[in-house]
Amino acid sequence: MSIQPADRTSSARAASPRSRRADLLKPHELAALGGLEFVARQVVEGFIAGLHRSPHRGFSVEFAEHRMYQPGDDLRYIDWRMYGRSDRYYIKQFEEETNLRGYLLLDVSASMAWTSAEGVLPPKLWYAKQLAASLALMLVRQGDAVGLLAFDDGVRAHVTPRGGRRHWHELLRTLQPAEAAGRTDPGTALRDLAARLRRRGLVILISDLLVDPESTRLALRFLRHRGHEVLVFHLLDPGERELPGVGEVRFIDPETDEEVPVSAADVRREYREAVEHALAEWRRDLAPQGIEYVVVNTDEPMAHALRAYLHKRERLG
Amino acid sequence: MGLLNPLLLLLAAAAAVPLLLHLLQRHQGPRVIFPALRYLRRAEKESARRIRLRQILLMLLRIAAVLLIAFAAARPFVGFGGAGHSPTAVVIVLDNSMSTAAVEGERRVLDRLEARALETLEAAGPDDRFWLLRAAQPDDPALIGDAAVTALRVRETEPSAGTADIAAALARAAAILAAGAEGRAAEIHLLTDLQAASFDARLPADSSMLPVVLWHPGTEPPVNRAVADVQVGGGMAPISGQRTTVAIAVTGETGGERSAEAEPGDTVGDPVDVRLLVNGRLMAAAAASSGAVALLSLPAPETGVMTGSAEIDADALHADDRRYFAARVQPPPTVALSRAAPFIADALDVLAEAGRIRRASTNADVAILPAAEGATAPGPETALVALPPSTPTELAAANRRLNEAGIPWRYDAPAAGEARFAPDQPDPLLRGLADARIRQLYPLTRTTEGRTDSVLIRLADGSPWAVRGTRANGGAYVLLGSPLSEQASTVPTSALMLPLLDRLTGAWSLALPPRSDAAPGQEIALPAATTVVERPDGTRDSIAGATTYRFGAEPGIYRILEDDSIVAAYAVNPPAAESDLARLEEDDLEAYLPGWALHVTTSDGAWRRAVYRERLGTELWRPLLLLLLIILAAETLIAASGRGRTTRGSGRSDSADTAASDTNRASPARAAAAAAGADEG
Repeated sequence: MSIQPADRTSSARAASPRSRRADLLKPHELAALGGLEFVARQVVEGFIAGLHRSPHRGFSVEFAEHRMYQPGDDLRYIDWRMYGRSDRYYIKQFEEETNLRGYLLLDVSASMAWTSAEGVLPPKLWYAKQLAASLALMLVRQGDAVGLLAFDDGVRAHVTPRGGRRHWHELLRTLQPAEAAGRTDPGTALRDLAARLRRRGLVILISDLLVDPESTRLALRFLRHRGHEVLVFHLLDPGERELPGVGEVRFIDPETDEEVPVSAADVRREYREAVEHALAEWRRDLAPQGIEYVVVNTDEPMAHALRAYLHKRERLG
Repeated sequence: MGLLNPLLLLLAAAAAVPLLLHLLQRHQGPRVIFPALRYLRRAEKESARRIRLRQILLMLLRIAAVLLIAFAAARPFVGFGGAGHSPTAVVIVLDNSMSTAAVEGERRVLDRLEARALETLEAAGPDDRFWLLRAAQPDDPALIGDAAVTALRVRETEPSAGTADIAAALARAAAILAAGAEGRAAEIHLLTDLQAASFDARLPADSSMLPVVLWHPGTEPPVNRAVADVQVGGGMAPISGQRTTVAIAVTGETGGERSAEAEPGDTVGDPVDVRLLVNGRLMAAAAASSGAVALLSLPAPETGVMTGSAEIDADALHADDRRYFAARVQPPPTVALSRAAPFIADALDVLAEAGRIRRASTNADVAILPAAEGATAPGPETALVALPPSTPTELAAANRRLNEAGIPWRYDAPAAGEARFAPDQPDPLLRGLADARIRQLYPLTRTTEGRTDSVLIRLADGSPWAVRGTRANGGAYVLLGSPLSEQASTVPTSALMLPLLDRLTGAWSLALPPRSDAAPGQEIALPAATTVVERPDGTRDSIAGATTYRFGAEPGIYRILEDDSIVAAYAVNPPAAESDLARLEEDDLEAYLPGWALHVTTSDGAWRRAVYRERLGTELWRPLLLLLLIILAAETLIAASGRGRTTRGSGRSDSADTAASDTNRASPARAAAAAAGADEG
């Protein structure tokens, strides 16, 4: 059976970022699309549209709206009645109402302002905001309530979880002006959050995890102990995986102004091993607690992170 | 062990540079904002010991490299055989006599001698001092200089046309070193073809025991033939309008001197072609074997100066394959006899019949005056040949006439007994006089001082028998010590009477030199009117009031000119002895140089080891250089291992990074990439 695309001119625009699925765009391409709301919406739209490729069958049970068929969409969701009336292909989209409360914990410490390639790669905070907005939209579209807590060494901003599109816009208004500053202490923020949460929910931590690992793990285990599902997105700039430069360099911590002079060439291998070791430690310590741990490289499309969320959400039912 | 340039050890102070860089390095480098210090601290902690060891090793290698460079620059040596030597004063005696122009194989002997001299100079140290003595140019100043300047002079040295006096050159070298060594070790480098003719004189024993390092080719000399002698008219001046002959002697490989003395017919080997050129034109040719004399006839020449050359085909030594000659051609002089003298008159008739003279009674070119009779009458255009009286009674009158004619000589009373002529007469035509006996001799005594007269013939006791000079009125005179009579001597009845009268009426009385031959570098008295001397190559030397002239080293015809008129010509030829290339045996050297510290070698390679006797030992720069290369290679490997980590470890290209800035807190990659510009060392 041959399926003709609804918009025959779309193939002509296939090469431009706007014509592709936004969740598969590179971060620097996303940044060129527009503001936080638009990008988040595009990412989520693109991601949902491509779910048929995923082994997960979808999550909605209640019809929500139609949209134009795009090549690659699952043929099972074509509305043949609409085709009979309009001679165009439409895809049926569904919504499912749940009572899940999602909490987005966003790290806004000074280290999050860093990028290894200015002008090429957006800072970690930009990526974190986009990811948080996209996740929030996905939660809202599922009928879930979503809240936000921005922290460094203390709570900088807080949005109480609620559902609905209007709430999502309020959440964006809180996200938009968040600036990276201060030192990081997620333990404080997590304990504060645990005190606020009365119903069990999904806690999503978005951070570069340049923190004291022991206190952070303790706080995460505490949340898990209180019955919350926990998902950790560990943002990693590619420049953090490989030590940059050669020769003698004085590296300075943007949060503490601590200075470490080293010969970069001499410690490069050990540094790479140290990073891998740290990531493995996080994975090893969190997995037994049922905490999902996902490493997100800030030069990768957001689909990877969204898919991890979706996987987690599916298990929650 | 010692150092040739100890001051250069100061370069070792540069070893502080890597040390300072090592100490300062950790406090320098660009500042880079980098949040993942947590991982960095862990990495540094794990590799700190290895990094410290590596950096200390690099620092030590770099310090060692600097120290090695400084040490090698100071030129260390150890005290057993080698190339280093203490500062040395060297006189290079370079034999550039004509024989060294001989070609052996495809090179001149002189080229090989120069090559050895250049080897000496290449091995020179900065404190060595050199003099160059060209043995065939003894009148040239000794040229002092450093190795570079002396090498240039060695290369400029060309074979001379003269002979070398090795003994004189060595004596001069010893004197130079005694005065100019100034505390240095001293030695003489003698570079010679060991031609026997160059070792004529024995040198007195050298008390200073100066080392003389001698190099000679050690080969058999090449076969050489030469034109040994050219005589025009059998030694008698050619007369214009009369045919004359030219005798050309060819010598061969048996040696110039011996061949020159060989009897006609005592020939050696195959004949060679002999060609005679006069004024640039080929006039005659013949074939002659070595040791033979070729007689070639010449057409009647015109009055003037006749010049030319005789040549044979080229062989190993070109310089002696051509020999030049010069002769003045004159019309036969008119000769008058003042009183009857039977033997003289008869001889004059024979000469007149042969066309050598013309008889005259008045206004003659030459007046022969027995008992000096008529000496006062002729003017300055007439040359006088005055003879003593036959009897002592006329002696006073004869002396009075000499005095009135302005001749500064007088006859003394006849000596008793017989006298003899000296055996070594300068004129080869008159060497037979040694067999003649003198029965009546009037000793000749000068009456005034300060005049320049020349003695033409001497007696065995050295006293003059025939003198020549200029009268008070400017005319020439020749004075004999005996009458030419049968009672006075055996000369009138011998075969020498005619040559003697030919000289008296010709060359001597006309003030012309009997021969016009000279050796390179020889000094001659110039005719009074000389203004210019023209060399063989056409260049002209102005004569401003000089009375003498020294010929150059170049063989050929030298023309003596008064403005543009030729006054005389000289043929300058190399000594015939130089054509004899026979070499001295090494065993005979001791006899010629007794007591000298001789070190003789013939091998090219052995020369370098033989010179500079005061060795300091083996220089160590080669092993030091090798060690330095090993250290640099190790340093490169260790440093590259660090850089290799950079290349392997980086997931991104460093070239993608841009310039660093301390203030660029948002662009650590750029800052870090800029740090890459600062190498680890």
